[in-house]
Amino acid sequence: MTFEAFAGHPVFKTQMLETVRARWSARALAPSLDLNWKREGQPDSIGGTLAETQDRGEFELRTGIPADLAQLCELLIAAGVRTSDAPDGAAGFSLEGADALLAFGIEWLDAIRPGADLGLIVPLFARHCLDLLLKPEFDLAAHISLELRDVGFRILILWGRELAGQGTTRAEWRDVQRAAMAATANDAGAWSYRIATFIEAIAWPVRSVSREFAGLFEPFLFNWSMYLETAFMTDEERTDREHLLLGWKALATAPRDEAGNIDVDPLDALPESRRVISSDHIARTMDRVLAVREAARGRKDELIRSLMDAVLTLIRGA
Amino acid sequence: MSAGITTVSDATFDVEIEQSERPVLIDFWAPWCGPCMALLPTIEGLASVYGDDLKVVKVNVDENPRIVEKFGVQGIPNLTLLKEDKVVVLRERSRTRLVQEIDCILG
Repeated sequence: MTFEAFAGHPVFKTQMLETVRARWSARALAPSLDLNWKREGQPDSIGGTLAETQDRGEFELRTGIPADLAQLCELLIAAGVRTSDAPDGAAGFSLEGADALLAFGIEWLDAIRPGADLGLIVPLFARHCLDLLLKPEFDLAAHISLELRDVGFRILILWGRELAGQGTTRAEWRDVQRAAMAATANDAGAWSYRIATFIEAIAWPVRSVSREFAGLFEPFLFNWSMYLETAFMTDEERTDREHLLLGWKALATAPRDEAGNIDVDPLDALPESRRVISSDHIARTMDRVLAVREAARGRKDELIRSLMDAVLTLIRGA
Repeated sequence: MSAGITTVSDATFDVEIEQSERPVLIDFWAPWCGPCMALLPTIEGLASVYGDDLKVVKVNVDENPRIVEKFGVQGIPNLTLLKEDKVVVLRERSRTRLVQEIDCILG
């Protein structure tokens, strides 16, 4: 599919951005992966306000911008800002975050050249992220098994061929998907679960998986952000965080019935995970959790801003 | 209509689902269901993977009580696969694992 941003008209772009710019400056919009627009009980999003719709197809028709790009940008902002209820405020909610992250709300739109085909931005960003993840200096590199790393490189190679205009076959992808699922099954690490499930989920032609990418990237990015916090924790807190992640993994992977209910509580076999997930533990440690979160804010903001800059570079190059 | 996905209603159920000669994947959803909306790109991805081998349809649970009752849908998102006489509620949610699950059923 070929996209043409703002139908190639600078005036159309200016008009479409006018409302978004005003409302974003007033902090009357909240970033949302769902591109919220006039959804009951939810603030409007940047993308939803731009196109006056939350339907992905309609968004693309009205703006000439891929919905997956809008979703990715909303996700990056949401990852770095805090939205909280403020019933007395004009917008009914408040938005807090570093200026450098909030600026992105309009930056990515301003960066778009009317007429640009932005169809490859998310695929190229996906490749950039996978490449980052596989580098030895990646924050969580020590938690990625050789088996999983091998799968990641195989995906990168296939994506490279696809983006170079060469073909890839269904058989090649099936092999990679099988290897990815095997790597996930063999992996027992607390921090690696979200990395493994991310790699497994993106094991598809990159143009095809770009439509899903923002939703797949979100838990991976959240996991990465959580890891950055551990630099500000005590040894005991780091251990507790690993118990938390193992508990979440057990709950996510527990067998369920057709209604989605879990038959056997997986935390029965993980007493330490049960302890740290308990409301009592959460209440007792909340002050400390918030302090760690705040201490890590700079590092996390730096990460998110670097990802935003990667998106901006790609948009400006389109 | 999303690419490769047919919208089905109580009125078109017989023609689109009951009389389908191909296996059918039903995506039960509602516009207020965030996880359903998040799953849509994955469903579109499945439609592109299987092409003509699998019919992928969407059923809005708010508007089609007959189909919902027929399949005993208790919560959404709900992905139900029909193959001949088999009716299977799919458990997975990523495209990779859904394809593995579907392939096992389709044989």
